[in-house]
Amino acid sequence: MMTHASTEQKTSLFESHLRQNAKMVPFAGWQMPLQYTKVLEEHHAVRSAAGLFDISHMGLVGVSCGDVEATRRFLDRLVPQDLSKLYPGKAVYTQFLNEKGGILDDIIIYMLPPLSAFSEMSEFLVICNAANVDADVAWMKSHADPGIVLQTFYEAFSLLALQGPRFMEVLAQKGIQTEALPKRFHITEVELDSVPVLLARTGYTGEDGVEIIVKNWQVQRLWDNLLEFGQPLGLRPVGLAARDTLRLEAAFPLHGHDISENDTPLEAGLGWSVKLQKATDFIGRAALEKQQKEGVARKFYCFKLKKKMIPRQHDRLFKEGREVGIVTSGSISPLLNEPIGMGYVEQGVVSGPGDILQIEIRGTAVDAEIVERPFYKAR
Amino acid sequence: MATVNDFSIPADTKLTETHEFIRADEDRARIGISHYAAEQLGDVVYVELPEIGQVIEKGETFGSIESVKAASDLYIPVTGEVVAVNTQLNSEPELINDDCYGDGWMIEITVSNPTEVESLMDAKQYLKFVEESAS
Repeated sequence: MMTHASTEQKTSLFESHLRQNAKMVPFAGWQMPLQYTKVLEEHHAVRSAAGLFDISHMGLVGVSCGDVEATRRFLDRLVPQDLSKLYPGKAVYTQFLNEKGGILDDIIIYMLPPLSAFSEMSEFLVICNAANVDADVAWMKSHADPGIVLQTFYEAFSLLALQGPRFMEVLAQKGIQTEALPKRFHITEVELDSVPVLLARTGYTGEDGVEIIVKNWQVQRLWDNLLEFGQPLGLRPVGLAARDTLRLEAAFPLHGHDISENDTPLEAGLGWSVKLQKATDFIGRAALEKQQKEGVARKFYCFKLKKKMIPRQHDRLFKEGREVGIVTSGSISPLLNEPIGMGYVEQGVVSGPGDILQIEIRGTAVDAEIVERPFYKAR
Repeated sequence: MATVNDFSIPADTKLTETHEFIRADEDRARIGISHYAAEQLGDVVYVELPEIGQVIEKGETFGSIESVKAASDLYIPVTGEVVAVNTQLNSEPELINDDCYGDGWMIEITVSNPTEVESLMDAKQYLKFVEESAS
Protein backbone atom coordinates (compact mmCIF):
# COMPACT_ATOMS: atom_id res chain seq x y z
CA MET A 1 0.00 0.00 0.00
CA MET A 2 1.48 3.31 -0.96
CA THR A 3 0.58 6.32 1.06
CA HIS A 4 0.33 9.59 -0.73
CA ALA A 5 0.68 12.78 1.21
CA SER A 6 -2.66 14.35 0.33
CA THR A 7 -3.76 17.88 0.77
CA GLU A 8 -7.44 17.01 0.56
CA GLN A 9 -9.75 17.53 3.47
CA LYS A 10 -11.20 14.57 5.29
CA THR A 11 -14.76 14.15 6.45
CA SER A 12 -15.40 13.03 10.03
CA LEU A 13 -16.01 9.53 8.66
CA PHE A 14 -12.70 9.26 6.80
CA GLU A 15 -11.17 6.61 9.08
CA SER A 16 -14.47 4.77 9.10
CA HIS A 17 -14.51 4.61 5.29
CA LEU A 18 -11.01 3.15 5.32
CA ARG A 19 -12.11 0.52 7.83
CA GLN A 20 -14.98 -0.32 5.47
CA ASN A 21 -12.43 -0.84 2.68
CA ALA A 22 -13.69 2.07 0.63
CA LYS A 23 -11.68 3.05 -2.42
CA MET A 24 -10.93 6.68 -1.60
CA VAL A 25 -10.47 9.34 -4.27
CA PRO A 26 -9.79 13.04 -4.27
CA PHE A 27 -12.96 14.92 -5.17
CA ALA A 28 -13.41 18.69 -5.08
CA GLY A 29 -10.66 19.02 -2.49
CA TRP A 30 -11.88 16.16 -0.33
CA GLN A 31 -10.90 12.53 0.19
CA MET A 32 -14.17 10.78 -0.57
CA PRO A 33 -15.31 7.16 -0.83
CA LEU A 34 -15.72 6.22 -4.50
CA GLN A 35 -17.08 2.77 -3.71
CA TYR A 36 -17.08 0.27 -0.86
CA THR A 37 -17.71 -2.84 -2.92
CA LYS A 38 -18.98 -2.69 -6.50
CA VAL A 39 -20.61 0.31 -8.12
CA LEU A 40 -23.41 -1.71 -9.68
CA GLU A 41 -24.20 -3.52 -6.42
CA GLU A 42 -24.33 -0.24 -4.55
CA HIS A 43 -26.52 1.27 -7.26
CA HIS A 44 -29.01 -1.61 -7.16
CA ALA A 45 -29.10 -1.48 -3.35
CA VAL A 46 -30.34 2.12 -3.52
CA ARG A 47 -32.97 1.28 -6.15
CA SER A 48 -34.24 -1.83 -4.37
CA ALA A 49 -33.59 -1.18 -0.66
CA ALA A 50 -31.58 1.75 0.66
CA GLY A 51 -28.13 3.33 0.64
CA LEU A 52 -26.28 5.51 3.10
CA PHE A 53 -23.94 8.17 1.71
CA ASP A 54 -21.38 10.42 3.37
CA ILE A 55 -21.78 13.67 1.46
CA SER A 56 -20.13 15.91 4.05
CA HIS A 57 -18.06 17.46 1.28
CA MET A 58 -21.13 19.35 0.11
CA GLY A 59 -21.23 22.98 1.11
CA LEU A 60 -23.50 23.98 3.98
CA VAL A 61 -23.72 27.75 4.07
CA GLY A 62 -25.81 29.56 6.65
CA VAL A 63 -27.28 32.89 5.53
CA SER A 64 -28.78 35.22 8.10
CA CYS A 65 -28.85 38.83 9.30
CA GLY A 66 -31.18 38.90 12.27
CA ASP A 67 -34.12 39.89 10.09
CA VAL A 68 -35.38 36.85 8.23
CA GLU A 69 -37.36 38.90 5.71
CA ALA A 70 -34.31 40.99 4.84
CA THR A 71 -32.33 37.77 4.32
CA ARG A 72 -35.10 36.41 2.14
CA ARG A 73 -35.07 39.55 -0.01
CA PHE A 74 -31.29 39.29 -0.35
CA LEU A 75 -31.38 35.64 -1.52
CA ASP A 76 -34.40 36.27 -3.74
CA ARG A 77 -32.28 38.71 -5.78
CA LEU A 78 -29.71 35.97 -6.45
CA VAL A 79 -31.88 33.14 -7.75
CA PRO A 80 -34.58 32.58 -10.40
CA GLN A 81 -36.85 30.71 -7.98
CA ASP A 82 -39.56 32.61 -6.14
CA LEU A 83 -38.37 32.62 -2.54
CA SER A 84 -41.46 34.56 -1.41
CA LYS A 85 -43.15 31.14 -1.45
CA LEU A 86 -40.79 29.71 1.16
CA TYR A 87 -41.97 29.31 4.74
CA PRO A 88 -40.10 27.92 7.76
CA GLY A 89 -39.27 24.27 7.03
CA LYS A 90 -39.65 24.57 3.22
CA ALA A 91 -36.85 24.07 0.71
CA VAL A 92 -36.46 24.78 -2.99
CA TYR A 93 -34.09 23.73 -5.79
CA THR A 94 -32.58 26.68 -7.66
CA GLN A 95 -29.40 28.15 -9.15
CA PHE A 96 -27.04 31.08 -8.74
CA LEU A 97 -26.84 32.79 -12.14
CA ASN A 98 -24.50 35.33 -13.65
CA GLU A 99 -25.78 38.33 -15.65
CA LYS A 100 -25.90 36.17 -18.80
CA GLY A 101 -28.15 33.67 -17.07
CA GLY A 102 -25.27 31.16 -16.89
CA ILE A 103 -25.39 28.73 -13.99
CA LEU A 104 -22.68 29.46 -11.41
CA ASP A 105 -23.97 26.66 -9.21
CA ASP A 106 -27.13 24.73 -8.52
CA ILE A 107 -28.24 24.70 -4.93
CA ILE A 108 -31.03 23.92 -2.51
CA ILE A 109 -32.19 26.75 -0.27
CA TYR A 110 -33.83 25.74 3.00
CA MET A 111 -35.84 28.19 5.06
CA LEU A 112 -35.06 26.91 8.52
CA PRO A 113 -37.69 26.34 11.15
CA PRO A 114 -36.91 27.43 14.72
CA LEU A 115 -34.10 25.13 15.88
CA SER A 116 -33.07 24.07 19.36
CA ALA A 117 -29.96 21.87 19.06
CA PHE A 118 -28.64 23.71 15.97
CA SER A 119 -28.54 27.22 17.37
CA GLU A 120 -25.54 28.03 15.14
CA MET A 121 -27.98 28.04 12.21
CA SER A 122 -30.85 30.38 11.64
CA GLU A 123 -33.00 31.81 8.87
CA PHE A 124 -31.64 30.17 5.67
CA LEU A 125 -29.36 27.29 4.76
CA VAL A 126 -27.86 26.90 1.28
CA ILE A 127 -26.55 23.48 0.29
CA CYS A 128 -24.22 23.80 -2.68
CA ASN A 129 -21.71 21.77 -4.68
CA ALA A 130 -18.42 21.08 -2.90
CA ALA A 131 -16.33 22.46 -5.75
CA ASN A 132 -18.22 25.75 -5.70
CA VAL A 133 -18.50 26.61 -2.00
CA ASP A 134 -15.81 29.27 -1.98
CA ALA A 135 -17.04 30.84 -5.20
CA ASP A 136 -20.65 30.77 -3.98
CA VAL A 137 -19.75 32.43 -0.70
CA ALA A 138 -17.72 35.08 -2.54
CA TRP A 139 -20.60 35.63 -4.97
CA MET A 140 -23.13 36.05 -2.18
CA LYS A 141 -20.76 38.30 -0.26
CA SER A 142 -20.23 40.55 -3.27
CA HIS A 143 -23.99 41.14 -3.50
CA ALA A 144 -24.79 41.12 0.21
CA ASP A 145 -26.44 43.96 2.03
CA PRO A 146 -24.61 45.16 5.13
CA GLY A 147 -25.41 42.87 8.02
CA ILE A 148 -25.76 39.64 6.01
CA VAL A 149 -23.74 36.91 7.69
CA LEU A 150 -22.47 33.95 5.66
CA GLN A 151 -21.17 30.97 7.54
CA THR A 152 -19.83 27.60 6.35
CA PHE A 153 -20.35 24.66 8.67
CA TYR A 154 -17.68 22.09 7.80
CA GLU A 155 -16.16 22.40 11.27
CA ALA A 156 -19.47 21.68 12.93
CA PHE A 157 -21.67 19.43 10.83
CA SER A 158 -21.62 16.36 8.66
CA LEU A 159 -24.13 15.57 5.94
CA LEU A 160 -25.41 12.06 5.23
CA ALA A 161 -27.94 10.91 2.67
CA LEU A 162 -30.24 7.97 3.32
CA GLN A 163 -31.97 7.10 0.06
CA GLY A 164 -34.05 4.29 -1.36
CA PRO A 165 -37.49 2.69 -1.08
CA ARG A 166 -36.80 1.23 2.37
CA PHE A 167 -35.40 4.39 3.97
CA MET A 168 -38.52 4.85 6.11
CA GLU A 169 -38.14 1.38 7.58
CA VAL A 170 -34.52 2.16 8.41
CA LEU A 171 -35.54 5.36 10.18
CA ALA A 172 -38.36 3.55 11.98
CA GLN A 173 -35.75 1.21 13.44
CA LYS A 174 -34.17 4.24 15.04
CA GLY A 175 -37.27 5.87 16.43
CA ILE A 176 -38.54 8.05 13.57
CA GLN A 177 -42.10 7.26 12.60
CA THR A 178 -43.45 8.14 9.17
CA GLU A 179 -45.64 10.94 10.60
CA ALA A 180 -42.53 12.63 11.98
CA LEU A 181 -40.87 12.76 8.56
CA PRO A 182 -40.69 16.04 6.69
CA LYS A 183 -42.64 16.13 3.43
CA ARG A 184 -40.81 16.36 0.06
CA PHE A 185 -38.59 19.45 0.00
CA HIS A 186 -39.10 20.15 3.67
CA ILE A 187 -36.69 20.14 6.59
CA THR A 188 -37.32 19.44 10.24
CA GLU A 189 -35.37 18.95 13.45
CA VAL A 190 -35.81 15.56 15.12
CA GLU A 191 -34.02 13.12 17.37
CA LEU A 192 -32.69 10.18 15.40
CA ASP A 193 -31.18 7.39 17.47
CA SER A 194 -31.22 9.84 20.43
CA VAL A 195 -29.13 12.30 18.43
CA PRO A 196 -30.46 15.69 17.35
CA VAL A 197 -30.44 15.96 13.55
CA LEU A 198 -31.92 18.04 10.79
CA LEU A 199 -33.82 15.81 8.39
CA ALA A 200 -34.40 17.16 4.89
CA ARG A 201 -36.58 15.27 2.42
CA THR A 202 -34.23 15.92 -0.46
CA GLY A 203 -31.70 13.86 -2.40
CA TYR A 204 -29.79 13.26 -5.59
CA THR A 205 -30.58 9.65 -6.46
CA GLY A 206 -34.08 9.72 -7.93
CA GLU A 207 -35.33 7.80 -4.89
CA ASP A 208 -37.34 9.02 -1.97
CA GLY A 209 -35.16 9.58 1.05
CA VAL A 210 -33.65 12.08 3.42
CA GLU A 211 -30.48 14.06 3.86
CA ILE A 212 -29.32 14.24 7.45
CA ILE A 213 -27.37 17.07 9.06
CA VAL A 214 -25.67 15.87 12.22
CA LYS A 215 -22.97 17.25 14.48
CA ASN A 216 -19.51 16.04 13.54
CA TRP A 217 -18.87 14.48 16.92
CA GLN A 218 -22.06 12.45 16.70
CA VAL A 219 -21.87 11.32 13.06
CA GLN A 220 -19.79 8.16 13.56
CA ARG A 221 -22.22 6.57 15.99
CA LEU A 222 -25.18 7.49 13.82
CA TRP A 223 -23.47 6.09 10.68
CA ASP A 224 -22.61 2.83 12.46
CA ASN A 225 -26.03 2.41 14.00
CA LEU A 226 -27.97 3.16 10.84
CA LEU A 227 -25.88 0.63 8.93
CA GLU A 228 -26.17 -1.97 11.67
CA PHE A 229 -29.93 -1.67 12.02
CA GLY A 230 -30.52 -1.09 8.33
CA GLN A 231 -28.41 -4.00 7.13
CA PRO A 232 -31.19 -6.61 7.50
CA LEU A 233 -33.33 -4.31 5.34
CA GLY A 234 -30.67 -4.20 2.64
CA LEU A 235 -29.08 -0.87 3.60
CA ARG A 236 -25.43 -0.48 2.67
CA PRO A 237 -22.89 2.31 2.41
CA VAL A 238 -22.74 3.80 -1.09
CA GLY A 239 -19.93 5.80 -2.65
CA LEU A 240 -19.69 8.65 -5.13
CA ALA A 241 -19.46 6.36 -8.18
CA ALA A 242 -22.95 4.96 -7.65
CA ARG A 243 -24.19 8.41 -6.63
CA ASP A 244 -23.21 9.47 -10.14
CA THR A 245 -24.98 6.61 -11.96
CA LEU A 246 -28.03 7.11 -9.74
CA ARG A 247 -28.31 10.82 -10.47
CA LEU A 248 -27.72 10.16 -14.16
CA GLU A 249 -30.65 7.72 -14.36
CA ALA A 250 -32.74 10.37 -12.64
CA ALA A 251 -31.35 12.88 -15.21
CA PHE A 252 -30.26 15.29 -12.51
CA PRO A 253 -27.63 17.65 -13.90
CA LEU A 254 -24.17 17.72 -12.35
CA HIS A 255 -22.59 21.15 -12.16
CA GLY A 256 -19.28 21.32 -14.00
CA HIS A 257 -20.53 18.64 -16.41
CA ASP A 258 -24.13 19.10 -17.54
CA ILE A 259 -24.47 22.68 -16.41
CA SER A 260 -21.95 25.47 -16.10
CA GLU A 261 -21.68 29.23 -16.34
CA ASN A 262 -22.03 28.79 -20.13
CA ASP A 263 -25.44 27.14 -19.83
CA THR A 264 -28.68 28.71 -18.69
CA PRO A 265 -31.41 26.87 -16.77
CA LEU A 266 -33.68 27.27 -19.82
CA GLU A 267 -31.16 25.51 -22.05
CA ALA A 268 -30.57 22.84 -19.42
CA GLY A 269 -34.23 21.89 -19.21
CA LEU A 270 -34.54 23.44 -15.77
CA GLY A 271 -37.14 25.99 -16.86
CA TRP A 272 -39.56 24.58 -14.29
CA SER A 273 -37.35 26.12 -11.62
CA VAL A 274 -37.27 29.56 -13.26
CA LYS A 275 -39.97 32.01 -12.16
CA LEU A 276 -39.68 34.97 -14.52
CA GLN A 277 -42.95 36.38 -13.18
CA LYS A 278 -41.74 36.71 -9.61
CA ALA A 279 -41.87 40.13 -7.95
CA THR A 280 -38.19 40.46 -7.12
CA ASP A 281 -35.70 41.28 -9.85
CA PHE A 282 -32.82 38.76 -9.90
CA ILE A 283 -29.40 38.48 -11.45
CA GLY A 284 -29.69 36.92 -14.89
CA ARG A 285 -33.35 37.81 -15.33
CA ALA A 286 -32.93 40.04 -18.39
CA ALA A 287 -30.87 37.38 -20.16
CA LEU A 288 -33.40 34.66 -19.38
CA GLU A 289 -36.32 36.82 -20.49
CA LYS A 290 -34.59 37.49 -23.77
CA GLN A 291 -33.85 33.79 -24.21
CA GLN A 292 -37.42 32.92 -23.32
CA LYS A 293 -38.74 35.34 -25.92
CA GLU A 294 -36.33 34.47 -28.71
CA GLY A 295 -36.13 30.76 -27.93
CA VAL A 296 -33.08 28.81 -26.81
CA ALA A 297 -30.40 27.93 -29.36
CA ARG A 298 -29.88 24.47 -27.92
CA LYS A 299 -31.69 22.09 -25.64
CA PHE A 300 -30.79 19.39 -23.19
CA TYR A 301 -31.65 15.80 -24.12
CA CYS A 302 -31.39 12.29 -22.74
CA PHE A 303 -30.40 9.43 -25.00
CA LYS A 304 -29.52 5.76 -24.90
CA LEU A 305 -27.32 3.56 -27.05
CA LYS A 306 -27.88 0.11 -28.48
CA LYS A 307 -24.21 -0.62 -28.94
CA LYS A 308 -22.15 -1.49 -25.90
CA MET A 309 -20.11 1.69 -25.85
CA ILE A 310 -20.40 4.33 -23.18
CA PRO A 311 -20.74 7.97 -24.16
CA ARG A 312 -18.51 10.31 -22.15
CA GLN A 313 -18.41 14.02 -21.47
CA HIS A 314 -17.13 15.99 -24.52
CA ASP A 315 -18.06 13.28 -27.05
CA ARG A 316 -19.62 15.01 -30.06
CA LEU A 317 -23.14 14.51 -31.41
CA PHE A 318 -23.91 14.40 -35.13
CA LYS A 319 -26.99 14.35 -37.36
CA GLU A 320 -26.43 13.18 -40.92
CA GLY A 321 -22.74 13.96 -40.64
CA ARG A 322 -23.19 17.48 -39.27
CA GLU A 323 -22.04 18.27 -35.75
CA VAL A 324 -25.10 19.28 -33.75
CA GLY A 325 -24.25 18.88 -30.10
CA ILE A 326 -22.13 17.59 -27.27
CA VAL A 327 -22.36 14.95 -24.57
CA THR A 328 -22.14 16.27 -21.01
CA SER A 329 -22.59 13.05 -19.02
CA GLY A 330 -22.67 9.38 -19.82
CA SER A 331 -22.44 6.01 -18.18
CA ILE A 332 -24.12 2.68 -18.09
CA SER A 333 -27.61 2.62 -16.62
CA PRO A 334 -27.37 -0.25 -14.17
CA LEU A 335 -31.16 -0.42 -14.09
CA LEU A 336 -31.75 -0.51 -17.86
CA ASN A 337 -28.43 -2.28 -18.47
CA GLU A 338 -27.82 0.06 -21.41
CA PRO A 339 -25.42 2.91 -22.03
CA ILE A 340 -27.12 6.25 -21.40
CA GLY A 341 -26.11 9.86 -21.69
CA MET A 342 -27.25 13.46 -21.66
CA GLY A 343 -26.15 16.50 -23.54
CA TYR A 344 -26.99 19.58 -25.57
CA VAL A 345 -28.32 19.53 -29.12
CA GLU A 346 -29.00 22.49 -31.43
CA GLN A 347 -32.58 23.66 -31.41
CA GLY A 348 -34.64 22.18 -34.24
CA VAL A 349 -32.56 19.06 -34.80
CA VAL A 350 -34.52 16.77 -32.50
CA SER A 351 -38.26 16.40 -32.94
CA GLY A 352 -38.75 14.07 -30.00
CA PRO A 353 -38.12 10.69 -28.41
CA GLY A 354 -37.23 8.02 -30.95
CA ASP A 355 -35.06 10.36 -33.03
CA ILE A 356 -31.62 8.98 -33.82
CA LEU A 357 -28.38 10.95 -33.56
CA GLN A 358 -24.81 9.72 -33.87
CA ILE A 359 -22.22 10.01 -31.14
CA GLU A 360 -18.56 9.88 -31.98
CA ILE A 361 -17.08 7.59 -29.35
CA ARG A 362 -13.34 7.06 -29.66
CA GLY A 363 -13.45 7.55 -33.42
CA THR A 364 -16.55 5.44 -34.05
CA ALA A 365 -19.99 6.82 -34.95
CA VAL A 366 -22.57 5.15 -32.73
CA ASP A 367 -26.34 5.57 -32.95
CA ALA A 368 -28.03 7.22 -29.99
CA GLU A 369 -31.78 7.28 -29.52
CA ILE A 370 -33.38 10.31 -27.91
CA VAL A 371 -35.54 9.23 -24.95
CA GLU A 372 -37.84 10.93 -22.44
CA ARG A 373 -36.24 12.63 -19.46
CA PRO A 374 -35.63 11.13 -16.96
CA PHE A 375 -34.45 7.59 -17.65
CA TYR A 376 -35.85 6.48 -14.33
CA LYS A 377 -38.55 7.74 -12.02
CA ALA A 378 -39.26 6.15 -8.64
CA ARG A 379 -42.80 4.84 -8.31
CA MET B 1 -4.48 5.57 -3.45
CA ALA B 2 -2.51 3.09 -5.55
CA THR B 3 -2.23 -0.47 -4.41
CA VAL B 4 0.84 -1.77 -6.19
CA ASN B 5 1.59 -4.87 -4.16
CA ASP B 6 -0.28 -7.17 -6.47
CA PHE B 7 0.40 -10.48 -4.78
CA SER B 8 -2.10 -12.23 -7.00
CA ILE B 9 0.06 -12.29 -10.15
CA PRO B 10 0.72 -15.96 -10.89
CA ALA B 11 4.38 -16.92 -11.23
CA ASP B 12 4.31 -17.72 -14.96
CA THR B 13 2.85 -14.34 -15.94
CA LYS B 14 4.49 -11.71 -18.15
CA LEU B 15 3.19 -8.17 -18.38
CA THR B 16 3.36 -5.02 -20.51
CA GLU B 17 3.68 -1.32 -19.80
CA THR B 18 0.08 -0.95 -21.00
CA HIS B 19 -0.97 -3.38 -18.24
CA GLU B 20 -1.90 -6.43 -20.28
CA PHE B 21 -0.69 -9.80 -19.10
CA ILE B 22 0.15 -12.94 -21.02
CA ARG B 23 0.42 -16.44 -19.63
CA ALA B 24 2.03 -18.78 -22.13
CA ASP B 25 1.88 -22.56 -22.14
CA GLU B 26 3.98 -23.99 -24.96
CA ASP B 27 2.85 -22.07 -28.08
CA ARG B 28 -0.54 -21.07 -26.68
CA ALA B 29 -1.11 -18.12 -24.41
CA ARG B 30 -3.93 -16.39 -22.58
CA ILE B 31 -4.12 -12.62 -22.45
CA GLY B 32 -5.96 -10.22 -20.17
CA ILE B 33 -5.32 -7.14 -18.07
CA SER B 34 -3.49 -6.93 -14.76
CA HIS B 35 -5.21 -6.67 -11.41
CA TYR B 36 -3.70 -3.22 -11.03
CA ALA B 37 -5.28 -2.11 -14.33
CA ALA B 38 -8.64 -3.59 -13.33
CA GLU B 39 -8.46 -1.73 -10.01
CA GLN B 40 -7.65 1.51 -11.79
CA LEU B 41 -10.53 1.10 -14.23
CA GLY B 42 -13.03 0.14 -11.56
CA ASP B 43 -16.16 -1.84 -12.33
CA VAL B 44 -15.88 -3.22 -15.86
CA VAL B 45 -19.17 -3.22 -17.77
CA TYR B 46 -18.25 -4.00 -21.39
CA VAL B 47 -15.43 -5.77 -23.17
CA GLU B 48 -15.05 -5.83 -26.93
CA LEU B 49 -12.94 -8.70 -28.20
CA PRO B 50 -11.66 -9.75 -31.65
CA GLU B 51 -12.92 -12.52 -33.92
CA ILE B 52 -11.34 -15.95 -33.74
CA GLY B 53 -8.82 -16.45 -36.54
CA GLN B 54 -7.59 -12.86 -36.58
CA VAL B 55 -3.82 -12.42 -36.57
CA ILE B 56 -2.80 -9.42 -34.51
CA GLU B 57 0.65 -7.88 -34.48
CA LYS B 58 2.42 -7.13 -31.22
CA GLY B 59 1.35 -3.74 -29.87
CA GLU B 60 -1.85 -3.51 -31.95
CA THR B 61 -5.25 -3.21 -30.33
CA PHE B 62 -7.17 -6.45 -29.86
CA GLY B 63 -10.22 -4.85 -28.33
CA SER B 64 -11.45 -2.35 -25.81
CA ILE B 65 -12.77 -2.28 -22.30
CA GLU B 66 -15.29 0.02 -20.68
CA SER B 67 -15.76 0.56 -16.98
CA VAL B 68 -18.29 2.79 -15.27
CA LYS B 69 -15.49 5.33 -15.05
CA ALA B 70 -13.45 5.10 -18.26
CA ALA B 71 -12.75 3.36 -21.55
CA SER B 72 -9.45 1.90 -22.63
CA ASP B 73 -8.02 0.13 -25.65
CA LEU B 74 -6.40 -3.26 -25.22
CA TYR B 75 -2.97 -3.90 -26.77
CA ILE B 76 -1.73 -7.36 -27.59
CA PRO B 77 1.58 -8.13 -25.83
CA VAL B 78 2.95 -10.37 -28.64
CA THR B 79 2.04 -11.27 -32.20
CA GLY B 80 -0.34 -14.18 -32.57
CA GLU B 81 -3.50 -15.66 -34.01
CA VAL B 82 -6.64 -15.51 -31.91
CA VAL B 83 -7.85 -19.06 -31.26
CA ALA B 84 -10.35 -18.42 -28.47
CA VAL B 85 -12.16 -15.50 -26.84
CA ASN B 86 -13.71 -15.55 -23.39
CA THR B 87 -17.39 -15.18 -24.30
CA GLN B 88 -18.32 -15.44 -20.61
CA LEU B 89 -17.18 -11.82 -20.31
CA ASN B 90 -20.18 -10.73 -22.41
CA SER B 91 -22.53 -11.58 -19.57
CA GLU B 92 -20.09 -11.39 -16.66
CA PRO B 93 -17.58 -8.60 -17.35
CA GLU B 94 -17.05 -8.32 -13.60
CA LEU B 95 -14.87 -11.45 -13.84
CA ILE B 96 -12.12 -9.06 -14.90
CA ASN B 97 -12.38 -7.29 -11.55
CA ASP B 98 -12.82 -10.50 -9.56
CA ASP B 99 -10.29 -12.86 -11.15
CA CYS B 100 -8.38 -11.18 -13.96
CA TYR B 101 -5.61 -13.82 -14.18
CA GLY B 102 -8.08 -16.72 -14.01
CA ASP B 103 -11.70 -16.63 -15.21
CA GLY B 104 -11.29 -13.03 -16.33
CA TRP B 105 -8.93 -13.87 -19.20
CA MET B 106 -9.84 -12.25 -22.53
CA ILE B 107 -8.30 -14.02 -25.50
CA GLU B 108 -6.20 -17.06 -26.24
CA ILE B 109 -3.64 -16.93 -29.05
CA THR B 110 -1.04 -19.07 -30.71
CA VAL B 111 2.21 -17.23 -30.18
CA SER B 112 4.07 -16.57 -33.44
CA ASN B 113 7.44 -15.88 -31.86
CA PRO B 114 8.05 -17.18 -28.29
CA THR B 115 11.04 -14.87 -27.78
CA GLU B 116 8.59 -11.95 -27.80
CA VAL B 117 7.09 -13.38 -24.62
CA GLU B 118 10.48 -13.73 -22.99
CA SER B 119 11.28 -10.07 -23.53
CA LEU B 120 8.27 -8.84 -21.51
CA MET B 121 8.37 -7.89 -17.83
CA ASP B 122 7.94 -10.54 -15.18
CA ALA B 123 5.71 -9.91 -12.14
CA LYS B 124 8.48 -8.36 -10.07
CA GLN B 125 9.61 -6.02 -12.85
CA TYR B 126 5.99 -5.07 -13.58
CA LEU B 127 5.25 -4.17 -9.97
CA LYS B 128 8.37 -2.04 -9.88
CA PHE B 129 7.26 -0.36 -13.12
CA VAL B 130 3.79 0.35 -11.70
CA GLU B 131 5.19 1.69 -8.47
CA GLU B 132 7.51 4.03 -10.32
CA SER B 133 4.86 5.27 -12.72
CA ALA B 134 2.29 5.71 -9.94
CA SER B 135 4.54 7.80 -7.73
